[in-house]
Amino acid sequence: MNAALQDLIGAVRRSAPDLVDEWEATALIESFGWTDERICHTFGLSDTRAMGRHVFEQLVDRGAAPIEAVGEDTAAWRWPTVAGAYSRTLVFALPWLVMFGIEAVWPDAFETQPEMAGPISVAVMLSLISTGGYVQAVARKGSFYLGMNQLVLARHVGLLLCRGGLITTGLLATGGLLAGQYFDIFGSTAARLIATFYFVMLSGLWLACAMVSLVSPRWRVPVIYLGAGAVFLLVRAYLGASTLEAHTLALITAVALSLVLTVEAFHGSQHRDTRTERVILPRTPVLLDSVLPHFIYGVAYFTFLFADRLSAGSALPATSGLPFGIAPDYKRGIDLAFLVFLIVAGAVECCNLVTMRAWRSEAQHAVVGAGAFGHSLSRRRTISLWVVVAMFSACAVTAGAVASRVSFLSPAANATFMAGCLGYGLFAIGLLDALLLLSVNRPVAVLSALLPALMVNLIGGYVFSHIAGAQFAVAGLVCGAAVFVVLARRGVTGALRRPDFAYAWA
Amino acid sequence: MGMRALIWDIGRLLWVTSLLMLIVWAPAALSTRNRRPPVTTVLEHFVVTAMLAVIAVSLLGPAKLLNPFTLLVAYSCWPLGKWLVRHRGTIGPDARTAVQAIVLKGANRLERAPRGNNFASSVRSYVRVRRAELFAIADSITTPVGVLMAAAVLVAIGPTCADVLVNTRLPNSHAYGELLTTQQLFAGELGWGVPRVVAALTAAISVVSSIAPVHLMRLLVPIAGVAAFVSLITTVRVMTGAIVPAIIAAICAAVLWPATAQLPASEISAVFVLLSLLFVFRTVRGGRDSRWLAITASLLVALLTPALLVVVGSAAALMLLAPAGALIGAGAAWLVLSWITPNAAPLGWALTAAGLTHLVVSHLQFTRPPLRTALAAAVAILGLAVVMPRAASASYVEYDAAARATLDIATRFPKYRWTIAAPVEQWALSYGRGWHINLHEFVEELSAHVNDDGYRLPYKVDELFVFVETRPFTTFDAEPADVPFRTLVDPVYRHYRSPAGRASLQFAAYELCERLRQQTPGATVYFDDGRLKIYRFTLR
Repeated sequence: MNAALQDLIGAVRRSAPDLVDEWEATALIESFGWTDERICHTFGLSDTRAMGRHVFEQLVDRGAAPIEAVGEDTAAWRWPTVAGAYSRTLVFALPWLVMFGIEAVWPDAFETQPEMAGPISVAVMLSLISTGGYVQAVARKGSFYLGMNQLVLARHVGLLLCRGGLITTGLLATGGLLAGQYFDIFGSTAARLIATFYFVMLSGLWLACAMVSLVSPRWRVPVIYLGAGAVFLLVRAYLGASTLEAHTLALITAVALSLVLTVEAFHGSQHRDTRTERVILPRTPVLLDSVLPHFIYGVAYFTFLFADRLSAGSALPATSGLPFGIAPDYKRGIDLAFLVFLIVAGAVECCNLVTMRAWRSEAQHAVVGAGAFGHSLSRRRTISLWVVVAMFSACAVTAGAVASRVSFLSPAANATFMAGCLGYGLFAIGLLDALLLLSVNRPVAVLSALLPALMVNLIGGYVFSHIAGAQFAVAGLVCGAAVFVVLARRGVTGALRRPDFAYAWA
Repeated sequence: MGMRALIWDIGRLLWVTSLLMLIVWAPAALSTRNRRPPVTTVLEHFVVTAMLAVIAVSLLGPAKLLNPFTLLVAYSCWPLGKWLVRHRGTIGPDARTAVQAIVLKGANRLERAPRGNNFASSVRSYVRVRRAELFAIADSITTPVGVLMAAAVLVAIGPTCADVLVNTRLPNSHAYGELLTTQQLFAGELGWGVPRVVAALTAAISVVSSIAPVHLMRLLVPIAGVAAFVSLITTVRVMTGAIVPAIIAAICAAVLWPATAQLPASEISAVFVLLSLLFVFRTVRGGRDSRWLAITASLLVALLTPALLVVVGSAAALMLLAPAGALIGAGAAWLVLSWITPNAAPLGWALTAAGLTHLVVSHLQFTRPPLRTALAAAVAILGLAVVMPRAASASYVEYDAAARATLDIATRFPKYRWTIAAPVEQWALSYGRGWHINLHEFVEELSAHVNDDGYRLPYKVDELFVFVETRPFTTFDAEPADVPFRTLVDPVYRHYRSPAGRASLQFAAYELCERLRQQTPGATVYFDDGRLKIYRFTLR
C-alpha cells in the first residue's frame, strides 16, 4: 500500500508541482482514474476528498522540491522519442513503397480484370474511411489508459470500440450490398460480393492493427504487412495464381496474422497491469461522447485523403462499360504524391511532438507573460512549418526525379503528380496545425477546419471531374487543402493568442 | 417468358406507385405532423417536389452529376434550407447539439436493447397499431362515394393499364423521341436549355426507383392518369364545395378516357393544369401561400404544354369576374384546345359538365344534395362505359417482341460490349447500355463487302445482334396515297414507315444475314418467333 501511496503522491507532484489546495489534489487523483471505492479498498480512506487532503498535506510537509520529471526535454529523451514517432507513421508508407518497388520490377504484378479493379479499390478506400474513426478512438483511449499503465482497461475499452467498429462494418456491408443490388452498382453480383468481402476483411484488419499498434514494441504492424506481401509474391510468382486470387490469400493471411498478434500483444496483460484492481468500464454513452470528436476527425481525415480518387473513379465515361475505375495515369501520379505525403507525415508528427514538449517545458519554468510566451510558440510553429515545407519539397523533387529517370510517369500523370503534391503539401501544413490543436485538447477547432475543407474537396472534386474530366478531380484536393490550411491556421492563431489559457484547457 | 415479364411489370408498377406516394406523402405528413395529411396538402407537396425534381435534373443532368446521391441532396435542399433559415445565427451550436443528441439517444437505446420476448412483443404491438390505422383508412375510403370514385378510376385507367402491361413497346414514335431525350439527360449528353419536364421527371423517378426509363415511360401513363383523376376530383370538390359535381366530373372523364396508352406528357400536363386551377382558386379566395403554388404549377404547365395556360388564364379571369362559371370556362377553353392536344377532350368535358352541374344544383337550391340520384346515374353510366367501345389511338411502330428482345439484351450483356443493328426505335431503347447502328446503314455498309473473301465484321465489340423482320411490321393499315417529297426522302420514313420500303429493307437484311451466318464462326439465331428473327454474331 505504501508503494501505491508513494506512486500516487509522486504522480500528483509531477502533474502539479505548485498545488493550490486539497481540491486540486482531489481533482488530479480522480483524473488518474481513482474512485471512492478504489480509495477505500486500497488505502482505507473514506473517499477521494480524504485522499486529496492527505496527499496535499504530505506535499506541503515535504515542501515544493523540484521533481525530476520523467521525459524531461533532454537530448537523451528527444531523439529516440522523435525517431519512434516518425517510425510509427512511416510504417504506413511501407506498403506503398513496396508496391512501387514491385511494380517497377514486375509491371504486371498487380494487373487484374478491369471489372474487379474498381470494386476492390472502392472497398479499400471505404474500409479505411469507415474504420478511421474507430482507429482514432482506439488510439486515443488506448494511449490514455496505457499512459496510466492500465493495460487491462486499455484492452477492454479497445475491444469495446473494436466491437462497435465490427458492428458498423457489418451494417455497412449489408446496407452496401442491398444498395448495390438495388442501384446495380459495379454491374454484377460477383463484383459486389467480392467488394463486400474485401471491405469486411480490410475493416477487420485495420481495427486489429489499431489494437496491435497500442502496445510496444511496434514491430507487429510491419510483420503483418510483410507477411501478407510474402504470401502474395509466393502465390503470384510461384503458383501462377491470378492477381485477384493472390490478393485474396494475402488479405486472409494479413487478417489471421493481425488477430494472432493482437492476442499476443495483450497476452498476460493482467499480470503486467499493476494498477487496475477491478475492471470498471466507463458508461458507453460517456465513452462515445468523449471520443465523438476524434471519431469524426478520423472519418473526415480518411475521407479527405481519398475523396479525389472516389470522384475520379466515378467520372469514368459510360462508354467504357466500367462502373468505377481510376485511369492508370491518374492513379500513378496521385499514388506517388500520396507516398511523399506519408513520408512527410511522420515529420509532421515529430515537429508537433517537439513543439508540445517545448510548450510544456516553458509553461512549467517560464516566468514571462502570455504575450511573450505566445510569440515564442509562434516562432517554434513557424520553424516547424518551414521544416515540413522543406522536407516535402525535397521528397517531392526526389520522387519526381526518380520517376522521370525510370519513365514511371507519363506527361498526364506528371501533371497529376505535381497537383497532388501541392494538395498533399498544403494538407501536411494544415495537419501540423491540426495536431497542435488536438494536443491542446481542441478537437472541435480541428473539425471546424477539416469538415468545410472536406466538403470543398468532395464537391469540388466531384464537379470538376464530371464536368471537365476525371483528371481534374485533384483540383478538389488542392482547393480543399487550401481551405484546411487557412482554417487550421486561424484555430492555432486563436490558441496561441492565449497560450496560458490553452495550456490550462489542455 | 410472357408471364414472367408481366409479373415483373406488375411489380415495377406497384414499386413505382409506392415510392411516388411515399415521396409525396412523407413531406406532407412531416409538415403537418399528421400521418394522414389532407389531400390538398399532399398535392401542394407534390407540386413543389415535382418542380424541385425538374430543376435538379435539368441542372445536374447536363453536368453529368445526376445520381441518387446528388438527387437526394437536391431533394433535401428545401427542408434543409428552411431549417437553416429558422436557426440562422446558431447553426453551429444547434447542429452540434442535434448530432450529440442523436448519438447519445442511439447509445442509450443500444444499452437498453430489447431481448427475446421484449422484442417480439414490441413488434406485435407495432403491427397491431399499423393494422388498425390501415383499417381506419380503408373505412374512410369504402363509402359509397369513395367506391364510386374508385370504380370511375378503374373504368378509365384499367384498359390503359392493361395495355401498358401487355405491351413493352411504346405507343407511338413521339414516345421514342421522349425516351431518347430522357436517356440523353440521364447520360449527361443533353445541353443546358429549357427544362424538359417529362424527361426530367422520368429521369428522377428512374434514379430513385432503379427502374429503366423505358419501363417508366409506359408505367407513368396509368400512374399519371390516376393522379389526373385525383386532381380533377379534388379541384372540382374544392372549387364547388360540393361532392355531386365531383362525381359528375369523374364519371364524365371515365367514360371519355382513351382505351390505350398515350404519352405520359398529356396526363402529366393535365395534372398540373388542374392543380393550377385549384391553387389559383385558393389564391383568389385569399390564400397567400397558394400564390406561389399557383405560380409553380403554372410554370410547369408552361414548360410542358404552353397552350394549356389559356385554360388556367380563362379560369383565373372567370374566378374574378364570374366565379360560378370558372369551371365551365376552363372546360370550354380546354375543349377548344383539344385540336392542339387531342387527349384534352375528356377533361375538358369533365370540367364543363361539373361546372354545369354546380350551376344547376346551386340554382335549384336543393335542401339536400341529390346524392342518391347522382350515385345511381353514375353507376348506370359507368356500366355503359365498360361495354361501350372507346377510342384506341396508339400507333405502334414495332413488334412488341423487338422491344422485349432489346431490353433483354441490354440487361443480360455487359454495358457497351454489344451492338444492335435494328430500326431507329431500338436506338432509344438501347441508349446508355450499348451501341446501335440503323439497319439501313448496316445493310448499305456491309452489302458492298460481304462477298469479299475472308470478310470479317468490322465492329470492335463482343456481340452483334441484327434484327430482321421475316414478316415486316406495318405502321399503317393503308399507306397514304400522297406523301410530301420531304417525307418521302426522309430515311426514317423510306426505310421504316413506308410498308414497301420496310419490306425491301428487311428482305435485304435477311439475305445479308444469311450470307454472314455461313461465313462467320460463332453466328447463331438469338430469337425467332416467325415474325422477328434476331441474328447473333459473337465477334470475340
